[in-house]
Amino acid sequence: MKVALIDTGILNIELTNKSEIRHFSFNGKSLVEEYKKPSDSHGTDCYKEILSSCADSEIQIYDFNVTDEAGSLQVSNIVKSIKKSIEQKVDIINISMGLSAYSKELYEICYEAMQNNIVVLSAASHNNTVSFPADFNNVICVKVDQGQTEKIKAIDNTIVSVAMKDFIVKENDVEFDFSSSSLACARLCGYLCCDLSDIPLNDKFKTLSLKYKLNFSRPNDSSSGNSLSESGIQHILSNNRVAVVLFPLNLHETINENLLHENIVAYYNHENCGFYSFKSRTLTTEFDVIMLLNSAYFDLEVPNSIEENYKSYKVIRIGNYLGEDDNKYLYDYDRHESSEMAILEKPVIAIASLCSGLNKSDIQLSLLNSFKNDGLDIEAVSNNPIGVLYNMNVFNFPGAIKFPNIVYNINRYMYSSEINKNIDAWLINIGGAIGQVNNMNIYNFGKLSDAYFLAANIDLAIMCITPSSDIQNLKLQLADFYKHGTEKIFLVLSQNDIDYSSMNYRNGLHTYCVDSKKYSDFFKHLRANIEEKVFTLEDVQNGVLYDNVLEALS
Amino acid sequence: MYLANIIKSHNNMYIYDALNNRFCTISSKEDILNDNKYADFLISSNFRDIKKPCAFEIKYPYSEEELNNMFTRSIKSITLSLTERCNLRCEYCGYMPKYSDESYLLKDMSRDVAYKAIDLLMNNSHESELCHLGFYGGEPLLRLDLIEECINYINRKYPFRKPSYNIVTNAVLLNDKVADYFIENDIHVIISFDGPKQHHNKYRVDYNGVSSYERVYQNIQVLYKKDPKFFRTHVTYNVVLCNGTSNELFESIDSLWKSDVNIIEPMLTEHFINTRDKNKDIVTDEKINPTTYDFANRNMLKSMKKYYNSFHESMCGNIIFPGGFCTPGIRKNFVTANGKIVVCEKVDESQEVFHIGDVYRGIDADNVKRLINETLRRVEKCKYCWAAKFCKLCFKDILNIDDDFCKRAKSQVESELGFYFDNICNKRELINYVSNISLT
Repeated sequence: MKVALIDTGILNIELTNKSEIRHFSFNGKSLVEEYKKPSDSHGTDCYKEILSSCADSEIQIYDFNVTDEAGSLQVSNIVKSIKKSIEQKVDIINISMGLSAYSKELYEICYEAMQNNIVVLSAASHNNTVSFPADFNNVICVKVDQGQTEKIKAIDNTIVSVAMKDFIVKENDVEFDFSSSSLACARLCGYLCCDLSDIPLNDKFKTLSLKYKLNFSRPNDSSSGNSLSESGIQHILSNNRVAVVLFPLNLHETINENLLHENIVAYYNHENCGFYSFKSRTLTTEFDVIMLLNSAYFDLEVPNSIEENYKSYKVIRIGNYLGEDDNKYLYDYDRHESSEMAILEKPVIAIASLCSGLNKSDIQLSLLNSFKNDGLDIEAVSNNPIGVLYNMNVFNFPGAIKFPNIVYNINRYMYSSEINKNIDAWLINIGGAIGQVNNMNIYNFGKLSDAYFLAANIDLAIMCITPSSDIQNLKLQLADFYKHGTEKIFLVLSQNDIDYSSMNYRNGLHTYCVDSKKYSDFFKHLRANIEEKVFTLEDVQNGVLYDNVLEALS
Repeated sequence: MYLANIIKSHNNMYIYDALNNRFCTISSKEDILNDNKYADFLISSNFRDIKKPCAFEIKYPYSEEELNNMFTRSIKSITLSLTERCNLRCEYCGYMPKYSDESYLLKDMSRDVAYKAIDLLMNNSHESELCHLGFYGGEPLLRLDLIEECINYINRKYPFRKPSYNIVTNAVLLNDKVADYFIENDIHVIISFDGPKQHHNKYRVDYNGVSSYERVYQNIQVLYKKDPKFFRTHVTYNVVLCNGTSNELFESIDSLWKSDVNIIEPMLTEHFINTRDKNKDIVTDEKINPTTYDFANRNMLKSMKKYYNSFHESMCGNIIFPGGFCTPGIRKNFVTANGKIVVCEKVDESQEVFHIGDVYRGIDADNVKRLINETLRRVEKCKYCWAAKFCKLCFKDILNIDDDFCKRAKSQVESELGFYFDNICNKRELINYVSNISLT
C-alpha cells in the first residue's frame, strides 16, 4: 500500500524498517523530493500511529512536509502534495490537519484523487467548526468517540468516528487517553491499509461502502456550465485571415459565397486533404487561423494533434466537441443581464424546429440572402456555428436554460442591439429542440424557443417540422405560440425525420432523410389538415417562402 | 386470446393487451378465462375484447431510398476482425471449431483491407454523432502492429476527426507498452474476464489447457496502475456467465474498479455442447437480488427501458417490426479478416445472408435488401405474438427462430413485464431514472 502523509513532516530518526519512505518538502513554492526537518512532532506521531495500526500490510510512505518557511500551513502546498500523490498513484492520502477556509482548488483536487481510486482521509475540527478538506463530501472526515465500542463507526455518509481510548499519553507522570482527531485519522489510515491491501483491482469506495456504509459524492464529470467572457469571434474575424474546416463534411458544397465574411479566405477539402482558397480554388496556406465549425448537434471528437500538426496557425474549435472547445469566443446570453423587460420595435422573424437537422440554417440563409439583395439591414442571430461564416451573431447554446433569466437576457440583448445599430428586421434561428418523444414533453420546439417567444413579440414564426409530426399535437403547440403573442406562423416541412429507434441514444435523437413519396404524401396531408401555410424546401430555395414572408410582414 | 397474455408476477396478476399497449390487474386467471367474469371485466375495465381475432402488421420501418441515404451519411461503427488467431482456447468460443480443425488456415487481416474499411467509415459517417472503430479478433493484440498502423493512418489521413476506438481483448498480451498505447490513444478496453479465479480458469485456458487468470490479473493491474482514472472510464469487463449466477461471483464483479460490466450468456455452440465437461461446472442455485449489486441493478433497469418507451409513446398501432433489430450497415458492421462486411460480430459469418458488403464496394444495398426480406419472411409468424414488440430477437437469431427460441423469449418478456408492472411503473423515482437511461 502506498500512503501519502500530508503533514508537518516525519523526523527521519524515528523511521522504522517496516516501511519504505520518500520525503517531499517545499522549497519556496516548489515541491521538491527532499527531506526537511520537521518543526514539530505532529507528522511523526501520525506516521507511528499509521504503522502501529496496520499490523500486516507492507506500507510505502510518501512524507509530504507541507509547512512553509514560517512553519505555517498553506492551502496551495496541500493541493500540490495531493497532486503529486495522485501522480505517484498512492492508495490513501492521510491529511491529519485542516483549514477553516473553503478552497475550490482543494475540493477539486480531492475529487481528482477520488477519480483515481484514492481514498482521502482528514481529521475533523476539534472545536466542532468547519475544517477542510475533512468536511468535503469526497473525503472521509475522522472524529474521535471515546464512548464507542467499535473500532470504526460510520456516523454519516463520509464521517466516521474512531475509538482512541487505548491511546494513552503521559504528561508529568499523569496518564490520560488522548482524543485527537489527527491521530484518529492516522489510526483509521492504518486500519484501511489492511482493509484495502489485498484487492488491488477493486473499487476502494465500493469496499468502504460495503464494509462501513460510507457513501461518497461522485459529481458528474461534466463541466459546470458556461464560463464565458467577452465575444471574441468577430474580433478574430476582423483581424485575421481565416480558413474554415466544416462539419458535416459536405457543408462546404452549400456555402453561399455572396454572404461569406470577407476574411474567411479558405476551406478544408476533406476529400483532397488540403486547404483551398475560396477565390482561386487552389491549394493555399495564406491564412493565420484555422477555425473548425461543427454545425452538428452532437459532440465531435477531433484529434489532440491538430495544434501540433498546424503549429504555425491558431486553431479554434466552435460548436460541439468532446473535450475542449472555443465557444467562449461566441456571444453569450448571460452577458446581457437585466431585471426589466424592454419594448422592442423591429419586426422579428424566428425560425424554430421540432428537432435538430431540419434545415433551419438553410431557411435562414436563403431569407438572409433575399433580404440583402433587397437592400435591407437584417440582424441575423443563430445558435448554429455555421452562422460565423456569414457574420451572424452566433450565440453559444446555453448549458442550462434558466427561466426567467434567459428571457430577460434575450430581451436586453435585442433591445441594446436595436438602440445601437441600424436594423430593419431580426432573423433569428433558434437552436435546440427535443421533438415529440413522448407525452411528457412540454417544450416541443425547445426551451430556448419558448424563451425567445417570451422575450420578443414574434411577428412571424417559421416552424420546421418532420414528416411524422402528429398534427393534433402540432396544433396545440402552435396555439400556445399564438397565445403568447406570435402574429403569424408558417410551416416548413423538412425531408429529415426523427429516427424513433434512436430515442434512447446517449447523444439525443437522430434524424434520417425520408424518401420522396413519404415526403410528398405528408405534405399533402398537412396542407389538408392545418390552417397555416405550409412550404416545401423547394419553396424555400425558389423564393416562394420569401415572397410570403414579405407579404406577411407588410 | 389474441395479442394479449396473462402476466403472473411475484406480487400480482395482470392482463396485458399488446395491440393497445394496455395492462390491467386481475385477481385470477378466471377473470379472463371464465366467460361470465370476462364479460364483467370488459365492462369495468374498458379493455379491448382480447378474444376477438386480430394481428399485427409487420413492416420494416425504412424504405430502400432511406437506407441508401444512410449508407452514405450515417455509418456509425465498423469493427475489424484483425485476426482469427488467438492465444487462448476458451471452450465456449465461437471460433473453437476453426481452432480444432487442423486443416483450417486461420486468417489475418491485411493492411489494405483495414485501410479500406477505415475509409468506408470515415467517408460515410459525416452526419453521424458516432464514429467508432473497433478492434476484434481472435485476439486483436496479436496484431498490435496493425492496430498502430490503423491509428496512424487515421491520424494522417483524417486530421480533423477522431473516431472513438475500442478493443475486445483477453488481456494476456496487455503489457506495459500496450497499456501506455491504450492510454495515449484513448482506446476503450473491453476485457474478457470471467470473475474470481475458479470461475475464470474453468474455460479460459490456453492451447495446453493452462489457466490464464494469473497472467490476466497481473496484466490488468499494469493498466490500472498506469492510470486509475483512465481505467475507471475506459475499462469494461465482459463476463461470460457459464455457471449461472452466484452471490460470490456478483459480489466480486461488483467490487471491481471499472467503467462497466457486460454479462454475457455463453454461446451454446455445438462444439461447446459436445466438449463441455459438466463435472467442471460450479452449480449454484442461489437466488440473486439484482438490486444488491450496482452493475446488476443498472443492467436490470436498462432492460426496463423498452417497456417504459412502449408505455409512454404517444402513438400505438398495429404496424410493428418485432424484436430489437438494428439498422444493417449503420450501427454495427463487422469486417472479417478477408474484408467481407457482415451485419455484426455476433452473427454466424459463414451464412451468406449476413454478408452485407465488402470493404472495396461498401455496403451493398441489394444484400441489405436480401437480409431484410429474409428477416421479414422469418418474422412473419410474429404478427400473432403478444410478445413481439419486446422480443429479444435480432439478426443473429433469424436463422434459429424455432419453438424453443420463442418459448424462451416469451418467458423472458413475461418475467420482465411482470417486474415492470410490479416494481417500476408506479415508482416515480425509478420511472424518472429509466426514462433518462441512454442506450448506445
